[in-house]
Amino acid sequence: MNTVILNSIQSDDKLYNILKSFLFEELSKAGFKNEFIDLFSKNIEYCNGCGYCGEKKVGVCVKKDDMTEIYYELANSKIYIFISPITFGGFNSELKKAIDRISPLGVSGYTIYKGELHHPMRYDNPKMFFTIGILDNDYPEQEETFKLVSERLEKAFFSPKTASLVLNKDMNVDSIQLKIKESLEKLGVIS
Amino acid sequence: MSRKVIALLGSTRGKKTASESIVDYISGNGNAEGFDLVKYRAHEIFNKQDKLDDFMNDVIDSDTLLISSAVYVHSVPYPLTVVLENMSAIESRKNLEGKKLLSIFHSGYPEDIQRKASFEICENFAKVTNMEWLGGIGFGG
Repeated sequence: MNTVILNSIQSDDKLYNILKSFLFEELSKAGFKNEFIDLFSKNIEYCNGCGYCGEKKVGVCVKKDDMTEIYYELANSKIYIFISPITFGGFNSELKKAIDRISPLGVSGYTIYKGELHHPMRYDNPKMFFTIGILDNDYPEQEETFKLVSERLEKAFFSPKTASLVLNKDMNVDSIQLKIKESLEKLGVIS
Repeated sequence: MSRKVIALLGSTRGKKTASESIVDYISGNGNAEGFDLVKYRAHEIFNKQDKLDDFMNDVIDSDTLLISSAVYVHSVPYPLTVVLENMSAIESRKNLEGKKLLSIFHSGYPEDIQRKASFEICENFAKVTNMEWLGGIGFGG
């Protein structure tokens, strides 16, 4: 089974290697093949809402850029993991740019899911959705918004198993690894 | 002397958008209500420093910032997020303190919860920049 990790924290951030190496270690032990994608290194245009993917050629994005490979990974991965600095409670712009392009993975029609209107997903993924946000200590109230933003995507993805984790830069490595383990246990990836 | 309102449009589809129609309607009533409204489209300014500077100077010269946008995949669209990130840079914050912020978000989904995250993001932006959050209006369906 595959995992796709969309990352928007910079590689010189001290949390970058901690998160990347530990996620790889735990997911690989659990038998997952992992694709870690640094969004800052990708050429991704922003969605201009042209409607091509929903009206003209359903499921296909008119923009031909690095999202093409990301669509492939998303379609074929049981686990989506999104990593981002928390910006005003949401994902930062780099990750949001990729998320805004996810519409081709949905179908044009609507369905009711957990009492809300949503576009069904085209593929039977993700089975698990995990968000990791890095919070600035000056703005603790943004944690609740990040949980809401994560919950909204959980529903958009129809993901049956979900986890959302907020970290801050003052945490030591052991605490970070423990929290990631707890989240992976919640998802049922490890026991 | 009339008040000055800056409208920041989040939709990325060009000029014929619901976000802009709403702002045009408000602008049409502006003279009667005693304010002038200036529009900026986030997707036209987010990656051009000179246009971002023009926008920021207009905001500094205004009383109120009005954000009008569609919801993109359950939160604020990318170009609008970039503009807000730029505005919240430490050196810009002192220029925004005390200015009023309100927002209008719309989407095709009828449930209020589908727009809630976008409003919270704007409210958090107001806290970071010490602006006065006035709340917002949501349209759905």
